Amino acid sequence: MRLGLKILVLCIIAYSLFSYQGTTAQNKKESTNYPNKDSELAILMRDLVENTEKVKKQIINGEEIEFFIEFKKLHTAVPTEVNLRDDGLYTAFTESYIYSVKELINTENDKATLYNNMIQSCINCHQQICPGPVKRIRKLKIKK
Amino acid sequence: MKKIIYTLFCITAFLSVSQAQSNTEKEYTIYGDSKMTTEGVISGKELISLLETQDSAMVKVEGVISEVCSKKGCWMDVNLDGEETLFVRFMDYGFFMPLDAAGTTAIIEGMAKIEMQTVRWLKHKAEDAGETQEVIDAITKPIIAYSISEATGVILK
Repeated sequence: MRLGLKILVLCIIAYSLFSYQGTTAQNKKESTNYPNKDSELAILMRDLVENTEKVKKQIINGEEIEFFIEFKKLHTAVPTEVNLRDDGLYTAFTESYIYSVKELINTENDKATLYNNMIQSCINCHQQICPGPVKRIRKLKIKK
Repeated sequence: MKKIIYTLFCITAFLSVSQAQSNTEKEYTIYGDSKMTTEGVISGKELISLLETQDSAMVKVEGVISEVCSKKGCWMDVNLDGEETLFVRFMDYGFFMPLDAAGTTAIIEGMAKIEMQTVRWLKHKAEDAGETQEVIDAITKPIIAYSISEATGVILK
C-alpha cells in the first residue's frame, strides 16, 4: 500500500473512533450528589460520618481509635437553619455528644458499648432537630 | 485497496448515523448511583397498580417532582398520576436534589412501598417546606403514603 493511502486509512479509523467515543460520553451528564450550597455544619456532619465509620472499624479490629474532627466546631459552624442554636436544645445535645466521645476515648473497657452510646446521642439529637439522616446514623452502630 | 476504502467508508457512515441518533437523545443528570439507566422505567399509574397486589416493589418509576425540601433538597414529592404522590428520600443521605427541581421529570430507582409517615416527620417536612406555624400545628395525624425511603439513584430529565 502506498504511504499516502496508509495515512488516509489511519485518519479515517482515528476519526471514526474519536467521534463515536465522544458521542457516547455526551448522552448523560454526570452530576455532583450535593448540588446545593451546603452549610459549614452540613459539611462538618459529613466529615463526622466519615470519621465515625473509621472509628467503628478501629473498634471492631481492636485498634487504637482516632478522631480527626475538631469537636468545638460543632458549636461554631454555620448551620443550614440560622436559628438552630436559639433555643439551647442543639447546644445541650452537642455537649452530651462530646461527653460521650470523651467517655469513649478515655475508657479502656467495652469500647463497643461506649461507641454505641455515642451513636445513640447523635440519634437523640437528630430525632428532635433534623430526622432526615437518622436511618443513616443507625447503620453506624456496632452490632453485637 | 478499493475494498478497504469502501469498508472504512461504510464504518464511518454507520458511526456517523449512530452519532446523529445519539444527539437526538435528551441529556439528563444522574444523582446517586452513577450507573443508573433509563431502561425498564414504569409510570406512576403502573406503580400504583403494582402496589395493589404486593407490599413492595423494586422499581424505576417516572413522575414530575411537585415539591423539594427547601433547606437541603433531602426529600421530594413526586406526582404519580395527578392525584397520588410518591414521597422520596435518598439512600444514606448520600445525595440530594437541586432546590429548584420542582416541575422537573424524574426517574427514581428504589424499593417502593406504602408506608406510614409519622406526625413528627410530617411536621418536620412542613417546616422544611416553609409552612407557617399554624399549618405545622394543624398536623396531628399520621398519613399512609406511597414512598421510596431509600432511593439508590435519581435521573432528572
